[in-house]
Amino acid sequence: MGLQLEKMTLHNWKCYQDQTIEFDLSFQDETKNVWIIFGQNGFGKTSILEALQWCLYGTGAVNKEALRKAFNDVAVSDNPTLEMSVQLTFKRGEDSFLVSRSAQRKPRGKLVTVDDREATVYRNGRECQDPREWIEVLLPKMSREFFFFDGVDIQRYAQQTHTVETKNAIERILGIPELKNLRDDTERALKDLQKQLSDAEQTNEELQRVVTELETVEVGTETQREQLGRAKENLRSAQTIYEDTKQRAEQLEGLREKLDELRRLEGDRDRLRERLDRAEQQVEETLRKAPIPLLLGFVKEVANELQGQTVTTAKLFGSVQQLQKLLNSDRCVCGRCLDEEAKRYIQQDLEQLQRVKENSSRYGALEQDELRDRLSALSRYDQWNLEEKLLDRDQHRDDLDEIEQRISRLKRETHGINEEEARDIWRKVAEAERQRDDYQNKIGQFQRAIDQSLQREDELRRKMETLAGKHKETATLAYQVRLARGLLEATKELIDWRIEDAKATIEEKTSEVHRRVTNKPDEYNGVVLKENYTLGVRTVTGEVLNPETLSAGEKEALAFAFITGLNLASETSALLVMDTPFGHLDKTHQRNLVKALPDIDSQVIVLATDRDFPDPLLNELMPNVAGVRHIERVGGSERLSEVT
Amino acid sequence: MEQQLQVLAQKHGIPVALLQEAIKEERERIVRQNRRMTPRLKEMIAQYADVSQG
Repeated sequence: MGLQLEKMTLHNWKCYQDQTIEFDLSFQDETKNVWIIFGQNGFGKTSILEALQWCLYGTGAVNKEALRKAFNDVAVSDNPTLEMSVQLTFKRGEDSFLVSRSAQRKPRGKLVTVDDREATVYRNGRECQDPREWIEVLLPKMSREFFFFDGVDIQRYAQQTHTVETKNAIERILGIPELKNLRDDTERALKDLQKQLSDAEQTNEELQRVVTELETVEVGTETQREQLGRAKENLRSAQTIYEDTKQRAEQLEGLREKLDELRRLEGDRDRLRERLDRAEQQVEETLRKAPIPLLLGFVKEVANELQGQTVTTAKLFGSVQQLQKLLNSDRCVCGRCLDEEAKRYIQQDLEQLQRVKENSSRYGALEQDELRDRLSALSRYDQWNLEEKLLDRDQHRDDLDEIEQRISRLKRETHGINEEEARDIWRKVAEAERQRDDYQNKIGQFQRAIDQSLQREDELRRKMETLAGKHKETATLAYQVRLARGLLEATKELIDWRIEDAKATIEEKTSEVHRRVTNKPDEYNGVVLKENYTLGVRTVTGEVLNPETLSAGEKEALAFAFITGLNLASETSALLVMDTPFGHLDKTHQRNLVKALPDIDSQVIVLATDRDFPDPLLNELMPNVAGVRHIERVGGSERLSEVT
Repeated sequence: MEQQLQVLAQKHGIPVALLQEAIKEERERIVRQNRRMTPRLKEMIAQYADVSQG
């Protein structure tokens, strides 16, 4: 059994000042589902029904004007600012729900307004944050007339057409809206997922492109590395060649200077040779052409000798005379006396000088002087300067010897030097340097290219990782889309199935109930549920009758059967509260409907007059009655009632 | 109803628990102005996809 009302408390609500009506659910006898609250017309049956609806739906069920009049008259006379309240306690399974609403009367002069407060809902003792939502979950407002109705209103469900609201309310009871919501929400979820999948698939294409590009870049990088390796090898070779060549060049550079010096010395040597040749020729020619000059020196020497002899002779004569005087003198020129030894020494020198004087006297002074004069004249002869030439020649020879020695040394030092190589070596150095620089430049280029490639590889790898992550998501998304599509299709089919199944159930149950409650079981063979849940009565002949053509009693019987069938088709049945449903029916319908009450799989609260349940009928129903209450006047006042 | 859910879940290749849970959550949110059920459904689908692929 679904939602059941356990207790109802009314405070200053209409004719009830402080009223608690309890519906004892503790016995849990599902065969006893009917509660009857008897009350004569005007005693407050409908007030109970209105209290239920106001507590649940507020002014949506009882408008402001009606609410303003709902305050208990007796209490208001004592307290114009009276508060009133209704509390409902429901049970559904193990859950307990307390719904409460209050209002206060606010008189302002002659004008009276009502402060209608929001309902509160407690679930298992804890206040719910969204009371309206919880009330909608318990008893949807739009479907309230399927739960709370009177015998006249019920007939409208036997109309040829239903309003959209009624259709929606029926579907609400059948649990169709949540399925339609699920369909719509799943459709949106599917679209979202398809969009994500589409994006992911585009990502996959991008991933493929990135992978291809990365492979290309990697191949390019590898090629560049190989080129770099070769270039480095070439560079090493070029560097070696360059260094060797440079070293050789530097060696040659030093030798080259010597070679230059050698060449210069050889030039000097050649020139010296020429000079020497000339000098020798001059000497030879001089010697050949001039014998006198060759004797000139001799003549000079003789003349000089003669001159010298003349002087010596003169000196000798002078010395002899002076020595003779000294020997003959008694005293020395210095004033001291000569001893014998000094006189003997002087005598010896004098004798020696006498001998020289005697020799010189052999030639005769005249002849010697003439010879000397003639030789002196000869010595003044303009000679050819042979000596100078000889000196000059000798100088050339010495110079030549020196140069020859230097040339010889330089030749030894520069032995094996290729002059052409010496000239070409720096060109080779430059060539090697250029080659080395070329390889260095190439290495730089390769390195930069590799760096760029590696950078690009890194970028692509990171992008690939990101995309690969999304690639994994793609498979997941594809599966999610499949699930969403499956869920959508399943929901669509479920809605169709649910509607058809509910209609079939409603049709079947309604037909069953209708067959029991109709006063023409021989004529009617069930109920047909048409589009939009409108009803038709099928006759035994197969004709489907328009419910508009039925009598009021037949309409109510049909509507009752429909509500019962609807409740049975609902997965979450709720209580039914009926206000004087049977009194105006013919006896057959009345009897049949009352007897059908136990068949409703819900708590049924019937606000009844005695006419609704004649004693024989009540007795017949009693095995299924859970409780009977009676509304009594309090103190005979029309304004105060109580339920006992 | 439960039997039909089994049939439909099998027919459309989805876990029956997904269908049951989705209906349950929709039922709980039926009265809300803003159900915000689409992201919740995507979340549920993702969870069931993980479990199925797991």
